Amino acid sequence: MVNQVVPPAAMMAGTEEEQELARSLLGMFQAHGRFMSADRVIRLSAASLAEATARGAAGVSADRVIEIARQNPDVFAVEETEDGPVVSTTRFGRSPVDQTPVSVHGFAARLMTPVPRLAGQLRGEVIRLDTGWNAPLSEESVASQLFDIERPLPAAIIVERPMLPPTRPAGEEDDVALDVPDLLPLDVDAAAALESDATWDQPLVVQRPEEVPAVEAESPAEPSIAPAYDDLAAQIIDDEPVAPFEIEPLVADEVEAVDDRDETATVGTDVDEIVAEPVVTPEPVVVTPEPRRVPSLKVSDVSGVEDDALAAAINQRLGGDVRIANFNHQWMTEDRVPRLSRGDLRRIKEYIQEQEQPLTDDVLVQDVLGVRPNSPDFDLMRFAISFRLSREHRDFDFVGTNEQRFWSTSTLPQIGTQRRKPNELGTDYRFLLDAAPAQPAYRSTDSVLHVVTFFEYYHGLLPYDAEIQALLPAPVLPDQRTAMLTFETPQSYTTFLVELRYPTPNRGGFILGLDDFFSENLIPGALIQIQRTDNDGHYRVEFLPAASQTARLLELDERRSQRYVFHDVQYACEVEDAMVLSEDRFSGLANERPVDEKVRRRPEALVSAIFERIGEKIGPGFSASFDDLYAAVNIERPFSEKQLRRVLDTDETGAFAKDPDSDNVYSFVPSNA
Amino acid sequence: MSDATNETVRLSDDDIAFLLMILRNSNRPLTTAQLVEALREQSLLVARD
Repeated sequence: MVNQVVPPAAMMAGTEEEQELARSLLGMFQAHGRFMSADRVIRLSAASLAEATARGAAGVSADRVIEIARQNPDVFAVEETEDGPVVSTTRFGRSPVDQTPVSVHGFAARLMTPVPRLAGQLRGEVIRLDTGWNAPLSEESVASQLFDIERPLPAAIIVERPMLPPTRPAGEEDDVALDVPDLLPLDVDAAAALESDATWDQPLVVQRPEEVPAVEAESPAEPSIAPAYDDLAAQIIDDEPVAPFEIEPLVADEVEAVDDRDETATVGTDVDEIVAEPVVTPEPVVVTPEPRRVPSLKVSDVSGVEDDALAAAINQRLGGDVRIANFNHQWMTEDRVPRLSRGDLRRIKEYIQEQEQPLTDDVLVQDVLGVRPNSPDFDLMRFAISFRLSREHRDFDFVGTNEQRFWSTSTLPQIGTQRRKPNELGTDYRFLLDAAPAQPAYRSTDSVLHVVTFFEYYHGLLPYDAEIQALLPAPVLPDQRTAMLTFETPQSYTTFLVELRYPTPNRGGFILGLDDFFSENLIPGALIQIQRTDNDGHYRVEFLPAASQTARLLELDERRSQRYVFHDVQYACEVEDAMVLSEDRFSGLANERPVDEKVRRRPEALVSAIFERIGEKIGPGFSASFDDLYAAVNIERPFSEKQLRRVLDTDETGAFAKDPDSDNVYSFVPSNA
Repeated sequence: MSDATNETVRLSDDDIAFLLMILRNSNRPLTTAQLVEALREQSLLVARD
């Protein structure tokens, strides 16, 4: 509810003329302070009031104004200032009253006023309490405290605490204070004497050092303990004004005020007057927080250590720390890595299965977790997915590179050819392990030129030989078996997802997933160039364009039973002529079936079978050039030139021999011939 | 040391404490290269003092 306050009607004194003049003056005050609060003091000089009245019909002098004001003390107040007399009132026509807040026991006073130091107390010394203060009050002591008013004041000053201590009856003169002549400053002997003689009902006694002689102990007792406070205050103030604690930001005026207070108190001012001194509020000290500093740790001098050695040392020390999350050369404290719920893991797994191919962590972050690429937490969530999925060995496999962190599940279909199992392919490429360098130089070359063999063309793969190993990245994880790469073909505007199978101790490595690229653009014997990009998981593969031409080339007819046939094929790419399986060179392969698996597994048997199919019949044996043998043997299985040369030159049975009359021509004589 | 060496380096406990502090103060994953750089800068500061 809102109450409207109506200003009371001021009753003016004097004659009607004087009353009218007084009301006129009050109206001037009210007009001047119309927007002031009702009790706000309005001050106007007497001269200005006289000048204002002179504008009207009844102009009066300043002295007359003062006289009218003095006649109405309830309404006006007159002050003498350096600029002349000033008349003041409020908007409600009440004489202003002093509204200075009383700060006798305010928070500022208590905060800023030092605690009085007791007589004889040294700086920083703690007043020691008698053990009797902690004892419960007895009925007798309480009664004596309540009714013994005429208790004599001993020579020592008895400091009564807010909770009154028990005292002895008034008749007992052998107060313990008399037995302890110099309790303060507190020394060991006095303390021991006090502890030995004091009883539980003895008050805290402060001995006045010399001002109160022992004779005065027998003087008539003071009627109350209030004078004791006065004497104590005087004693305190006589001493050096030492504050138990010092407040640093004291301004100079305040220091002077404190000194003045002490001097005033010295001449006998009581304690209340001292405390009532105005407290100067110190100016607020603005403390600028210092920036957070990194504590100075005496780290080792690593100026002469290479980055790789430092990185290896960091991997060694931090890699085994369970507090640190580490994945793919990234580090973070484990407790700060966002966690994935079981539902998140299930959705990630289902999404990968739905897409039927491995997916990168950035795709999973966007599509499954719904974090946008421009979100500040995007990189953090990528790291979180990779780190958390790396802990889920049962459901997820890492199949990525440093730049493209692919994740797969165990139920995804195989990428690439279905004509042969990956393990069988790995066994076929086992010979690559013999030529593999001990320390592979991963990504040390920019591009690789490669001739596609019939076997590679048919299965859509590439060997992971030393040249391609120098182009592709190393496995990210020590136990990583596969890595998904993207091969971009600018000539067909297509990007293929291929799978790199890293070598194992008994199987060679290879790259799967190039079936479509080969069949749509190449023929066996074509030249392709593979270039790396800044992204270690992305490569550009191109064939060398050439004029379009047509030739009858070898194919494997799979309609009924597998047989080799020759068909007209049109192609427009550069080829290695020696590797092109044309009909005019390899007519003997027409209508032949692929060799039996038992023959295929044994290199010598396979080379013998190839001799019989493509070789020139000379007497009981066959003769064929090395180039033809190399192209034909790569129809059935991968074979390197070095491996073929070793089979031909180091055959223990003596079936193979180099033709001494022709260059790079070998002959084969069957053992049963 | 004037010539850079690629020999095996063992980090001291202070080095590890410094790296842990760097990691705790970061709300982003840090790469090994960033840790190496931070270690080098701190090493220079200590040498300057």
